[in-house]
Parts: sequence; C-alpha cells; structure tokens
Amino acid sequence: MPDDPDLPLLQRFAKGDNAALGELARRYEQPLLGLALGIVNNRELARDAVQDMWVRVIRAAASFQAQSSVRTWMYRILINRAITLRQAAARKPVSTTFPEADAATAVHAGEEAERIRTAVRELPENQQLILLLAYHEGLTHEAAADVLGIPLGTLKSRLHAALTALRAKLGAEVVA
Amino acid sequence: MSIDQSSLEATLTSMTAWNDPAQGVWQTALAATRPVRRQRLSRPSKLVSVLAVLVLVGLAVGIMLPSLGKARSSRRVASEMSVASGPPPAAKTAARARGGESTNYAMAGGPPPPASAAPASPPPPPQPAIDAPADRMVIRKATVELKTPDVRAAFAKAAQVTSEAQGEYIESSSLTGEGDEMQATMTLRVAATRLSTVLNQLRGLAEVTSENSTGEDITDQFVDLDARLRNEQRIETELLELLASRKDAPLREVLELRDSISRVRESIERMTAQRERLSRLVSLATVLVIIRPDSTKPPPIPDGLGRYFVKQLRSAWQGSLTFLADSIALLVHIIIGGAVFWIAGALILAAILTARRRATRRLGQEPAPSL
Repeated sequence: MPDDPDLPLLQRFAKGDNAALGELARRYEQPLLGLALGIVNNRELARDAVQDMWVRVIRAAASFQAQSSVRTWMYRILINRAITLRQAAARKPVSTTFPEADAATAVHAGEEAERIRTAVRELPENQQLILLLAYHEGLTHEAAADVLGIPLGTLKSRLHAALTALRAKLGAEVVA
Repeated sequence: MSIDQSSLEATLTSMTAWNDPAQGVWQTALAATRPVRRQRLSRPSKLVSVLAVLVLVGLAVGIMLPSLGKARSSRRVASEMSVASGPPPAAKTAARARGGESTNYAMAGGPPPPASAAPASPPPPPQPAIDAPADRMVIRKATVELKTPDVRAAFAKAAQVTSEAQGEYIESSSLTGEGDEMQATMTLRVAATRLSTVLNQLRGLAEVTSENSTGEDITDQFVDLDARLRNEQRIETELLELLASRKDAPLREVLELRDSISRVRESIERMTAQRERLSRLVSLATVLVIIRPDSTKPPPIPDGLGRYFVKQLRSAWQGSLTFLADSIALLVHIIIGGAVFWIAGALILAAILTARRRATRRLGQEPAPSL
C-alpha cells in the first residue's frame, strides 16, 4: 500500500516519533471507539478494546508489512479484539449483563431506535458486524469490505441479507 | 408498524458513534506499552544470552576436556613410570637409611626420569643428602649407567664431580674401545653425605639407562670390632702391669709375657686398621659410573653464537609448528567432539529465530475478522 496516507505516520512512530501516533489517534481513535462500542455494547470494554489495539499497533509498528492499509490493519485488530472481549465477557456471569445501551445515547434515543438496537443485538454475530461496519461513519463500503477481507459485491449481498433479517426481526416493513 | 428507512440507517450509524470527545486511549496504551514492550523484546535477548552462555560453557568444556584428558593420561604415564622405576627418592633414602637394601632403576625400554632426560637439560635440583644416623654405619654403593653420543666428553665431566677438598677421589677409571664400542668406566669415592648430589650431577651428564644403589649396614660389625678392640687394649694394659710387677720373675715367664703382649698388640693394630677401613668405607661412598655411546643421537656440536642462534631458531620453528598442529587438533577436537552441542545449539538458535520471525510477521499482519 504505497499510497497509504497513514503509512508515513506509522513509520515515523516506529522510529520513535510519538507525535505521529498521536496524529493517527486524532484521525481514527474516535471512530474506532465507536465501532468497538457497537460490537461490545459497553463503553469500558470498548475503551479496553481500543487500548489493546493501540498496544498491538505500538508493538508491531516496526514490523508492519503494509500488506493492507494502516487503517484496515487497525480496524481488523480492533474488530478481532472486540469480538474476543465480547465473547469473554459473555462467558463471565457477572459481566454478561451489558448495560442496555450507552447512557449518553440512551437519553437521546427514542423508543423506535431502541427497538432497532435490540433487534440488531439479536441478529447473528456476522450479520451484526456487517451492519455495524456498513453503517459505520469511519468506513466506506469498499473500506469495510477490505477490513472484512471480502469483495465489495459480497459485502453488499451480505448487507442486504442482514437488513432483511433485521426487518424480519422488527416485524414491520421499512418504508423508504 | 412501519419504520422509516432513514431512521433505521441513523440508528445503525449511531450504534457505532462515540460521542465523548475526550479520548487519549492511545496515550494510555503508549505509557502502558513501553515497559511491556521492553520486557517482551528483552525476552528473546535473554534467550540469546542464555544460549551464548551455553555456547561459551560448551566451548570452555571443549577446550578443557582435551587438556584434562592429556593431564589424566600424563598422570597415568607418570604413575606407570613410578611403578616401573621403584619408589620415589625420599622412599629410597629412607630405605637406604634402614640399611641393607638396594634400589635399582632400570631405564631400558622406558623413558628416563626427568632429572636425566637429556644431557643438555640443566642439572636437577640436588636431593637432600643421605645422612646416616649417628648410630648407624652404612656402606653405600651406587652404579650409574649413562648413554651419550659423546662418551669422551661425559667421561671428562664425570671425573670433575669429585671434590678433593672433601677427601673424595677417583678410585679407578678406564676408557676403552672406539666409536660405537667405546666404553668408559670410572669408580668414584665420594663423601657419603654428598652421594645424592654426586648422583644428581652424574644424571645431568647424559641419559641414564640404569641406576643401582645399595646400602650395607655394618653397625653390628663395627660395634663388635670396637668392643673386641677395647678388650684387647685392656688385656695389653693388664699384661704390661703384670710385666712391671714381676721384674724378678724367671726369664722364661718374662719372655712368655712379652710374647703375649706382642700378640695382643698385633691384634690391636689389625683391628684398628680394620676399624679405620670400615670407617673409610662408611664415610666415602663408592660410585661406579659406566658410560656407553648413544648411536641414535649425533654428537653435540660445540655451540658458537651463530650455531646457538640457528639452533634456537630451529627450535622456535619446531615449537611454532607443534603449536600450530596442537591448535588445529584442538579446533578439530572442539568442532567434532562438540558436534552434538553445536548441532543442538544451532537448532535451538534456528528455532528461536524462526519463532521470532513468525511472531514478528504475525504481529505485523492481522487476519480479517472471520464472518
């Protein structure tokens, strides 16, 4: 990925420039936290997932092989880590009781939004992930397909299937 | 119940939105990672250090093993030699002091003792003098057979080991034959207290082929002779007193008394002479030196400065070649003898490097989330 705009930043950081990592964080930390929150549905776990991702990025900065873009790499690390954390939390009886939703968003969310959220949580894990990535602000569909390692067409067809399943869960037809 | 498409999309988008602007998670990660990263990175370094130490230990063992083996074999050879050549000098001395015992050091077929290893070598340190106890009278005799390329020179040097100042002398000497048939024989009378010193000097003259020492204890004989002598002297005194008191005795008796006195005196003189002879035998040890030619070695050439330099140069060259050969042998020994360790070390190192490379590669890549 020679035209990756984030690669020079990672290389600078690998050479000891912490400010370069700060610049990467300025670009991606907030959307990454958002995606992590979407996956784990818990702010603390989301922060943990992002922190773990940064740790991994810091450790592997020097050995990054640029077989994908830095952003794709970071998203992949985050998604894998977030899924692991969610599964681990689900196995723990105490921590399996996720908060219903982010408190801040819950204040502003209406009943309809809450229904949609609940329905999404009830979908299979892969469909949840497709929906979250496809509607995540930080990623285009092409980028989301790249993160998932699938062609764009496959992403779209899976997105369609996920939406259909979501609508079925909601038990009502979504009007355009 | 209908749901607006835009509402659906907005809700899905809001599910992955982070509304809190205060972040800095990366800084926390950076602060937390520094020591961890150092620790993680130092782990392979520790492994490499441990491996290096193991290699060094292996190397040291590889170096030491041949030396230990050599030392062990040298000790074995020395032990075999000492068994073959008899008890050590101290034991021999003690044995001689007890009297009536003999020691025989046959050098044929075996290496000579260090003191007589080579004619050119410096003379060995003098051994403690063999001092017979004051109440023991021991006649000491020794035979030393030497082998040298230059019999004549060794013969001349052997003649100089006696010390006239101490009453020592050459009892007999002969030099017969020519070439390989030449043989020198010399009987030395040396002070018994200097026997060890003289033997050491002789050993330094040439290669010792055999050595034999005997000690004959004549204390009893000497004491007996002394008693008899005192007895005879007492008889002489009594006879003289008797003669003086019988001045008016008949002539026949006087003549008989004088005859008796004469016999007693003769006996006293004989015993006195015998006593002196024994004392001389005890005070002066007899050393028989036999020198034969050594045809295997060329006669030494008298060294001038130039010859000495050339000889030393040749010796240094030989020494360097020997050192080189020893070094190569040692290296071969280390490489071949330690092959198992080298292979094991190389495998461990390769495994560590491969694991590190894989870990690094894995760290720099991230598989796509499986759906």
